[in-house]
Amino acid sequence: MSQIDQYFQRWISKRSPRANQVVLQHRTIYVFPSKQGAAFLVLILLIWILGTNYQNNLILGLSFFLTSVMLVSVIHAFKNLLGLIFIPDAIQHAAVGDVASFDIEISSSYLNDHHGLLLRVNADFDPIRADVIAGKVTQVRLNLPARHRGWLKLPRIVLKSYFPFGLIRAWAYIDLHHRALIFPKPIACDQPPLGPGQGDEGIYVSMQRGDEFQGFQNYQPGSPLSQIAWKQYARGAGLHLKDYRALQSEHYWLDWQALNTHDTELALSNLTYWVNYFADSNIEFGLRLPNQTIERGTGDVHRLNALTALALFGWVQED
Amino acid sequence: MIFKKSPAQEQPISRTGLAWLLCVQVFILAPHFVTVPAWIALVWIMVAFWRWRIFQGAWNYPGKLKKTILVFVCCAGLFFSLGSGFKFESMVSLLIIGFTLKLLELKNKKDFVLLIFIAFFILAAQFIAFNHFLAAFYGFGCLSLLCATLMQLYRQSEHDSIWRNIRPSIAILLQAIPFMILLFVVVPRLGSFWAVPTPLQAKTGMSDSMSPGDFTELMESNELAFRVSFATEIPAREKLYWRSLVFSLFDGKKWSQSREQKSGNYFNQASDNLRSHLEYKADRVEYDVIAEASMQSWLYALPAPESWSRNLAFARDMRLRAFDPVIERMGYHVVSSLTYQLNEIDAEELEQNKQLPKNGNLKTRERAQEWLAETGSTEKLIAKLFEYYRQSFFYTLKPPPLGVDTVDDFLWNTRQGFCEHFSSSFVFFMRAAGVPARVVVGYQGGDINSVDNSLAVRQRDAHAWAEVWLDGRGWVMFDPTAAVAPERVQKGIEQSLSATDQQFLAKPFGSSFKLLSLVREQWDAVNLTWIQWVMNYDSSSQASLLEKLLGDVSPMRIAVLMVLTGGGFGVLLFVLLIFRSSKQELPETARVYLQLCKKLKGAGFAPQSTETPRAFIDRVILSKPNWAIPLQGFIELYEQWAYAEDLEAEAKVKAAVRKFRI
Repeated sequence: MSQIDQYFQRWISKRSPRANQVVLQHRTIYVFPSKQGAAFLVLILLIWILGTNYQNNLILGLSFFLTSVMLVSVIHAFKNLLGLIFIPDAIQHAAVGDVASFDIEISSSYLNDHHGLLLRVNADFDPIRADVIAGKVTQVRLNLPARHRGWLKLPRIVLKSYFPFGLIRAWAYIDLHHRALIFPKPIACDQPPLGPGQGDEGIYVSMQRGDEFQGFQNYQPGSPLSQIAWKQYARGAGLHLKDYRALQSEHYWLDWQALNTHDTELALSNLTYWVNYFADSNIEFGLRLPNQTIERGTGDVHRLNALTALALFGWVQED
Repeated sequence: MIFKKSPAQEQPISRTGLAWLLCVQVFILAPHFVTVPAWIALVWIMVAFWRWRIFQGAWNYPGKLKKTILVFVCCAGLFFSLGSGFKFESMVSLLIIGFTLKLLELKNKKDFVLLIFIAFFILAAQFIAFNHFLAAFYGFGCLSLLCATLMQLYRQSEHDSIWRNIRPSIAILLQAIPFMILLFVVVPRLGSFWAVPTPLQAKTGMSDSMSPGDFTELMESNELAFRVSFATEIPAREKLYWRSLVFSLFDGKKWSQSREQKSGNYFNQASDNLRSHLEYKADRVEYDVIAEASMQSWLYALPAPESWSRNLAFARDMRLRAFDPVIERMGYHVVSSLTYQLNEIDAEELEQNKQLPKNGNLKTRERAQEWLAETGSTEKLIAKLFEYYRQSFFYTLKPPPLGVDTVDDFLWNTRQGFCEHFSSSFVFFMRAAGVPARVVVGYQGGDINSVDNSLAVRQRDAHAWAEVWLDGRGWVMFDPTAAVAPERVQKGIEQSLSATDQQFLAKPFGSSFKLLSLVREQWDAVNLTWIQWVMNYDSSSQASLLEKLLGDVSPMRIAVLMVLTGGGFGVLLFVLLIFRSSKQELPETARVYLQLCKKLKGAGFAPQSTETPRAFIDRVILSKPNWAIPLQGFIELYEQWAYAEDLEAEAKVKAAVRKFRI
C-alpha cells in the first residue's frame, strides 16, 4: 500500500513540480464523484425505479435529467479550478512548537469566479476556505506546526472544491517554493552564556529580569561595587545598580563555548532565549558559534541574522 | 491525500441557506396537497416556524420525547385520514411527513443535503399525479430552485440577489438538457418491476352497463375521453362511430355485457376465423389513438379494426380492449375499414342476442309481433320503426322520467329522450320481434382541431346505437338517434340541442368565441404533441424511432450513437464553457480606446505600438483638423478617467466615442 502511495506521490510530483508560481491546467486537475455524488447516484436509481414502475416518462425524464446534471457538473467542477494562479507571498517564521504561516495569493487567469476552494496542507488544521472573484486577488494563510529547527518547506497543498453541487470533487496538488525558517525553541537558563568580549573583558552582570527603574535596578547582594549608583544612594534613594541596558554603552558576546553542555539542541535553545532577550532589551550583542561568528549589533535584522544562524546550525543544505 | 471528512458538511447552516430550503419546500410540497391530506400543510407550517425560531435562537431543538410524540401523532393522523391499506397516497404522505419533521433535526450541512435529496424524490413523485406539460415546466422550476439551494452551500456570495443565485444553476440545467434528451431517447424502457399502488382517480367515462340516466352525466362532462390523430384523411363526421362496448344482456332496466362477453376467451385476436367472419371491404383509415386513463380496459376504435397495436386484444363482438385497465394515458395504432361486413355465425350467440326478460314491456312485445306480421321482413320492420321515431319523437337531454316498463313508457308514451333511450328501445323492439339485436356504446364524432388536424373526443360525445342481425348481411349497424336528430350525428351534440338543453349543458364549449376556441385548439395541439412525443414514448415508439435514426437497432449502433452525440455535446459544452471564458479581460479604459481606434481605422489611421493615446490622437488631428474638437475633448476626458481615475469622466468618454463619426 505504501509502495503504491510512494509511487503515486512520485507521479504527482512529476505532474505538478515545485515551482515559484503554479497555474492550474487541465493536466493537473483531477475530478471524481464525491461521497455525496455516490449518494446522488443512488437517488437517481431510486427515481428511475419509481418512473419505470409507474411507467411515467416525466419521472424517468427527471432521473435522466439528474444524471445529465451530474455529467455537466463534472465540467463545471473542472472549470472551477482551471486557470487558478498561486503565488507565494509573505511568511511568518516561527519557533519550534509554534505555528508557521505561509501566505499565498490566488488569482484567476480567466474571467470567471471560483467558488468554495478548500486548501489544506496538514491534517491538524481545518482546511482554509477561499473564493476567487474574477479580476481580484485572494490571499490565504496556511498554517503549519513547526516541529523541527531549520527550513520548513511548505508541503504540497491539496486544493479541493465541491462546486457546483457537491456531487463532484475536483482537486489538484500545488507545490510552491515557499519556506519558513524555524528557530530553536527559546529555553531560559540562569546566566547568559557570555564569552570574553573585546574591550569589555571581565564584566559580569547579574541579568535578573525585573521591572526596569529608569535605567536602574534594585541592588543585588554580591554585585560589583563599580555598578552601584552612588549618586542616587547619596540622595537617599536607596541602593541601586546602574542598568547597562539603559546605559547602552556595554555590549556582550553570547558564546557557545560558555554553555558548556553536550546537548546541542538545548544549547541552541538557550542561545535563542538570550538572543531574544538582548534584542528585546535593545542591548548590543554578538554571537559566537563553533563555525560562525555574528558580529556585534542591534536591531531586528541583527536579531534575525543571529536567529537564522542558530536555526541553521549544523543544517545540511538540501537545495 | 483526500480529506477524512468533508469539512463543508460539518458547518452550521446559514440564514440564507435555511430561507432557501424553506422556500423550496413550499414549492415542492404544493402540488402534493391535491392528493395528500391537507392537515399535513399545517404540520409543515408549524415545523417550519419552529425551525426558524431555533435558528433565531429563541426556541430549542425538540427533545427525544417531543420528537416521538410528533411522529406518533402524525402517523396516527395518517392512519385516520387514509386508512391502513397501502395506497399511493399513504406512501407519499409518509414521505412528506418525514421530509417535514426532518426539519427539526436539521443541524449541519449534512442534514441539509439529505433534505434536498429527499426533496428530489418528492419532486419526482408529484409527476405521478400531474403529467401535463405545465407540470414539466413547474418541475423544471422546482429543480432550478433545488439546485440553487444546493449550490448555495458551495458558493460564497450569500447576499446576492435571488436571480444571481438561481441563474448559474439554471445555466447548468439548460446545459444538461441535450444529455437528458439523449438518455431519454436511448435508455431502454423496462416494464414495472412490481405491482404498484395507483393514485386514486375519479372514474370517468362510461361504465360497463347502461341504464336510464347514465349518459346524462357523461354528456354534461367536457372531459377528454381520447384523442385521435389520423394518418389518412379524417372521415366524415357521421362515420365516426367509436365502438367501446357491446351489450347483449338486458334485465328489464339495465343493459350490460353477457357472461361470455366478459370472459377471457371471448378474444380471438390471433384466431384465424376472424378473417372468415369479418370481411374488410373499403375505406381504410389509419390513426393513432391516445386514450385518457379511464380505469377500465375497453378502448375506442372505428369499425372494423383491421390491424392494431400488439398491446391490444380484439373481442369477438368487434371491439378493441386493453389487457389491463388503462390507469395511465395510453397510445395505440389502428387501421380500420369503414366499409365491412360482420358475419358472425354462432348459433348460441345469436340466441343470446334475442333474449328478453320474462316480464314487462308487454305493449312493445305485442306491437313488435303486430308490426312484423304487417311488414313481413326485418328490413321493412326496421324502416317502419325508424319512420315511427322520425315522426313522433323528440331529442332532448332532459327527458321526462319513465315508469316501471321503461321501454313501453318511452316508445308509446313520453317519446322524448336521447341516444340511450332510442338504442335501448330499438334493440328491445327488435328482440321482441325475434330478431337478434344488441346495443353498442361508444362515442360519436369529436372536435377537429384545425391546428394539427387531430380529433378530440370528449365525454359529452358518448353515444349508444344498435346492431341488428340481418340474414345474409350479418351484423348491421343502425342508429335510431340519427333518425330523430340527424344533426346530433352530423354536427355534434351542441348543434343538436334546443336552447334550453344547451343551457342545461351550460359548460362553456367556447365555440361562441372564435379567438378563444383558436387558443384552445392551439393549446390542445401542444398538449397532444407533448403526450405523443413525451408521455407516450415507450419501448415500441423507442424501437421505431431508433430504427428511423439508425436504420438497424443493435447495441453496437446505439453505443456509437451515444458516444458520438454524447461526446459531441460534451466537447461542445467544454469548448463553450472553457475557451469562451478564456479571453483575457482588457481594462475598461483600453476597451473604450480600442473602440475609437476601430472607428479611426475606417479613415486609415492606426496607432503604432509605441504611441500613447495622446500622441496618436495628436497625429490624427494634424492630418484631420476638422476632428480636432471631438478628439481633443475625448483625449482630455480619457486621460482624466484612465490616469486620474476620475470616474465621472467614464460616461462622458463612452458617450464621446459613441457620438464620434468619421
